[in-house]
Amino acid sequence: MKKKHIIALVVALLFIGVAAFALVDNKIDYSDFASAQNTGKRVQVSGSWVKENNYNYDAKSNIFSFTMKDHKGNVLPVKFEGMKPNNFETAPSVVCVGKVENGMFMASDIQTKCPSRYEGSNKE
Amino acid sequence: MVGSVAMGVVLAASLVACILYVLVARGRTELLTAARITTHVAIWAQFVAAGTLLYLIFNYRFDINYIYEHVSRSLSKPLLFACFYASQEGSFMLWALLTAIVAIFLIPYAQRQRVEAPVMAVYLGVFGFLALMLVAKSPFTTIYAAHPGDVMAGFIPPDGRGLNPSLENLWIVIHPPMLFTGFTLLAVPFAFAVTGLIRKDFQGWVTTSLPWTLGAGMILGFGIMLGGFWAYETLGWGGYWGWDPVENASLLPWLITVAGTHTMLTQKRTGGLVKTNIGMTLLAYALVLYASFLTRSGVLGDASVHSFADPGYVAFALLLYGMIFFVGGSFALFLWRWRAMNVRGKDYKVLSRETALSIGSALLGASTLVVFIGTSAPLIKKKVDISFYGDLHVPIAILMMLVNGLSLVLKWRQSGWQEMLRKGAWGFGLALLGAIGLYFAGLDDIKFLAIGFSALFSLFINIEVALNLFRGKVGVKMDASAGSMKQKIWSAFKWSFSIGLVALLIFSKGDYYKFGQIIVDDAGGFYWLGFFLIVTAAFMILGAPSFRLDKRFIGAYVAHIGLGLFLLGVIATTRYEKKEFVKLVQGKPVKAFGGKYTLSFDSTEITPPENYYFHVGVHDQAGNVALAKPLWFWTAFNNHTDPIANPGILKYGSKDLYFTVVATDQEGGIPHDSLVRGQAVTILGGKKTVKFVDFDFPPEEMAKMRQQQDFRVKARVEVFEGKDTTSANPVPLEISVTRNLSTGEAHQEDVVVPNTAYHLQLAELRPDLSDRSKSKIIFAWFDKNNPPPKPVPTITVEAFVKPFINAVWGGILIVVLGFYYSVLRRRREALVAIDRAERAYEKSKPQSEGLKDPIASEGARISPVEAPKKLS
Repeated sequence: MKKKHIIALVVALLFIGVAAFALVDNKIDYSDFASAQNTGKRVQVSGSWVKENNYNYDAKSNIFSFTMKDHKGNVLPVKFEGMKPNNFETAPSVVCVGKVENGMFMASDIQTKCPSRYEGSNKE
Repeated sequence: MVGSVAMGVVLAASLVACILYVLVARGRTELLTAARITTHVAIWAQFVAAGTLLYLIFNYRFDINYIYEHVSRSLSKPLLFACFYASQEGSFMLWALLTAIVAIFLIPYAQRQRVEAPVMAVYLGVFGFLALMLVAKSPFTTIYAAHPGDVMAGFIPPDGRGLNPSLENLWIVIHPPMLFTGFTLLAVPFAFAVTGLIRKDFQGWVTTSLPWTLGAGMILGFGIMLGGFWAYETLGWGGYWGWDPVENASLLPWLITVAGTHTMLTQKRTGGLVKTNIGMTLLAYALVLYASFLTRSGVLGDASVHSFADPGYVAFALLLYGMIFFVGGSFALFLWRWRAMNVRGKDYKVLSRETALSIGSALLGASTLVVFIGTSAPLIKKKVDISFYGDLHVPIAILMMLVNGLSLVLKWRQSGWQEMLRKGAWGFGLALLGAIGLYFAGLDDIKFLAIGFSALFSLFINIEVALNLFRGKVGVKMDASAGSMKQKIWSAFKWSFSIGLVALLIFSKGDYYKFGQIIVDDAGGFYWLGFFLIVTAAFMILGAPSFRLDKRFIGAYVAHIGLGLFLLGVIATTRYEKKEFVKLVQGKPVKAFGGKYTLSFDSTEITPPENYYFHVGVHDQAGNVALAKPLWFWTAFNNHTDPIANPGILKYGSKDLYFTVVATDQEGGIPHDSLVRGQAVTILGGKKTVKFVDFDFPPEEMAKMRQQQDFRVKARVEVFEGKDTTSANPVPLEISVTRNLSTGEAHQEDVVVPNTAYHLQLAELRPDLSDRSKSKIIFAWFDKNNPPPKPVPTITVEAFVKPFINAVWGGILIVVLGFYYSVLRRRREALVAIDRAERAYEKSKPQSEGLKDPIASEGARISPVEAPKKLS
């Protein structure tokens, strides 16, 4: 029985080691443009679309681009390979995952937050 | 309000009943009747509350805040039903309702084992918690109470806001109730495990709660799969699982539940693994509560696409403290009993099925841990990349399937190496051949090959064992005299149903979407009815053939066959999926996927209210043509700003062709320019300049637009000579367009540009109602005497070829079927064990106590270790 326990422990530790390694490898911090630019890491940035600069979707290359202002007020152009997310124009906030390359935020994922249907006033 | 009062009664009665049952458990047996009556009061009050909510929904009572926010008059009847649990309050109502229904069955079940008092005390605690949530955040709150000061008392809005349109399809009617049924059922093993801890009976509860645990696993697993199917069929991103926190939240309790069922089997045999099983059962329910906390407390705010919005402080605190109370309480008790649980089970060797089951369980536990870490990361403002899950599940999946295959060639208690190798040789060899086949079919990735090999290994061994179970026991016999009339008709129905299903699959070429059409439109149902009558008559005269097939023990094998199939499907769809963006000009076919298919954009079908079906013709090399209909629709839900896309899917037995429209455009036609208010642009090669002054879109025209009638919008522009907009005399012009959203027709009233042959036309107006200065017009200019060709609409589609996607769905359906057989088997075993315990108790009971209450604090127990059954 003792031998069995030791083997189980070793395997468990091995797995935890692999998991920890994978975790460090795949971890994404919540961040802002400034620190993303400094570190060059993959991060998640939340902010809003700068409506004055229009968005653009190029169907040929399937690239959607727009300008985003993060929650600290930094502004950066964002490029995303994919179509415009649903509710992009009405969403009060946008969340992007990606990293900064050549002064541009290359997003691998964009999520929009719906204007909340659960809060707010119902003045009618 | 009836509903609020009823909910108050549920809360009070469930808590009182909980306390009464605690007293009964501590020896005050005279209170048992009172406890039962109070429990039934809680159950029936819950029915009244749920019924009231449903009644209010179906009567469009928009003065109720919950109904105003989730119901609208345009919803169909099944969708109205789904509004019942569309959000926070309602889904708690559904959960509480299911809890009440299960309680009805649980009372007699627990009573027979003489654990009614403690089991019901725990269960009613859970019920009371749900009722507390519903009282604290009531679905019966009126809009004037929910928004004090904003809305006048007594005001009833004419219509509600309705459901999120991407949820508006039939899957919402099926998927959430499934998940909640699973969550509800998991409360039963939880209550039994806690009772086991209190009573220091660490064995009997395993046998009696196993059918409930398996049942929960079956329904929860099916529900999770339907969620994936739903996402695939409607959201248009082409996948079925995104490791989203909300998806993961339902997966967590499922994984640990399945892990638990495996070690519970070991405990049934050896009496060991006491701590593991109680711990995992408590953990499964802890994860149910954790899942509700994550998805409902708003903590995932930034991390998920579909978590509920912030519920407010009271609900947040209740969720948090409720979770801490149940999880903390049950684990405190667990630690309290730690030493008492040091039970040494029957010995088994390392090379035995027990060990294999433990390893399998540990792998499922590892998977749970991975998902838990990924899902919890947002709590500390972190996030993991999707690849985190994939990377770690590759080794887990490989090991899991290998261990599963091996476990079946191992015997209980002890096995020999040679026997294992001999029995596993066939499966191993076939799996190796299969993997080599996969390699030559183009699967060159070592990770996928390894998963493929282990999945095939498990698949072949399971099939082999399942067939061995049948060997010598399978036969068809016919007997005219056997069976009653009813049995013969039932048998005829089963045969005709199966044959009909096969016929449907053949005629539809695997496209199960066409089933309805074949049954109704092509009169397939009519033929089937005739066939059924003939079969029934034949069975009456000749006798019904009956399969002698022993299905009692096949549950686990069927489930693992399904799992192997599912993994192969996952490999095929992730590795062999092909994706292309194709721009299609109407009427001009384009080759795609290396010429394998030719796609054409044939036409656009517009249906009310604002659905645009793009007809995409798909021509294969053999000359077959099929029509996919991806959809764009606009809705008031997002103020008509963006279209919502649904995919068009063509189903074949071996693959799906999947199309989502990502952009629309026009090719050719007359030149267009777009202007923001106040902006100017030169046209005609600099001869004139057009300035957009303002638009005119009066409220009465807006109202017409909303009612799907013809409406007219106007834009005022000024035309200047040359490029100079400061010149004194611009010519004011008014251009307008009359449109109809339901028909898609547009009629432009053109205006001549003074002193030219050119006309101005208003193509589109995009008003910005919040800031008029940002409103935009799109206008066209052209020579009326020499009109350019009409513009041709174009669409860009994201096209996928998804091979063997049906193996993903089919695999899980087979897993669910396997669970079903296991539930039947373990239920039978539980009932037998209870019967045996009951008889033993009757015998040992002194005669004088015969009339006393059956609930004794120390009742008869189910024998610790069940006699090993003959199996494989």
